[in-house]
Amino acid sequence: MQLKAGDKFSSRLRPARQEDLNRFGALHGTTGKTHTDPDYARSSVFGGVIVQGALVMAPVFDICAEILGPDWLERSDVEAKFVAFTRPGDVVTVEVEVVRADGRGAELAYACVLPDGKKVQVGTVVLHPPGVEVSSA
Amino acid sequence: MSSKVLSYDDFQVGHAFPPQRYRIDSTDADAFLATFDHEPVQDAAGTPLRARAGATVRPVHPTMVGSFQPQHAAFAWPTGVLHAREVVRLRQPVYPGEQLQAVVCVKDRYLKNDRKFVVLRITIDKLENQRTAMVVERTLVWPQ
Repeated sequence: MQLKAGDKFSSRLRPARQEDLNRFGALHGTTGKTHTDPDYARSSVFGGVIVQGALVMAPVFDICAEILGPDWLERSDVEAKFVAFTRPGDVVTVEVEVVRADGRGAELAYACVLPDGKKVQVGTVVLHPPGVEVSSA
Repeated sequence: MSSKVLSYDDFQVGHAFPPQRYRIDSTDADAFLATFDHEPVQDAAGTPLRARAGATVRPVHPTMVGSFQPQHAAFAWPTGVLHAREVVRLRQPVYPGEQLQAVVCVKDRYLKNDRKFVVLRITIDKLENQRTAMVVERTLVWPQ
């Protein structure tokens, strides 16, 4: 796909269910009680279960793959900041804007947004040009 | 899985925990994909981007490759640790069954606004070709 700066994309995430949090947590290693124990979470400072930030981030990766193509698995850098939490059932929309694209590489900015406009996660994705040695440092 | 619960003061910058070797099989990789989904990606005009790829040999999802499991093997953490930031450098796809090695290092720790931050750097290598598949820099907030 030919991307250009200013292009915008969006996709709505499937609202996370408690069983998603439990299964994701078991596989990902994020089984903290604030995610998987509703009774504990209710009595915690969070007042209820919160969704793992990585469970919101994971489909963002898939959305980026659809925008950038399969090469992104070999030469991309992603930065995600978890700025607020979501709860099971929340409707989260991922909004992506192309910041830079020159035909070889690209940079995207994204935000995960609740229906009231509150951002829960923001980040950037840089796809490095092919044939250029990219550092892992 | 380690049972040694680490406090903020236990982390020494530069320390590397022993390497952890593991594989992710296709059953777990598929189960992981079933825990989330999204509607078709649309452009600003509302046009769907493209049809999703059909069933092929899919790489393991990068979020699963860079999971918290190597951390569990290295140390335990108290209830209340929060995930604040993640930087992921993707360098090679990982396929189900590939042998991986993860090394968890303490990159930094610092206090900011009375909160305790620990930054871990997790390097995941593919043993078959000795290439780095992914590097994760994970910032966690330790409870007071």
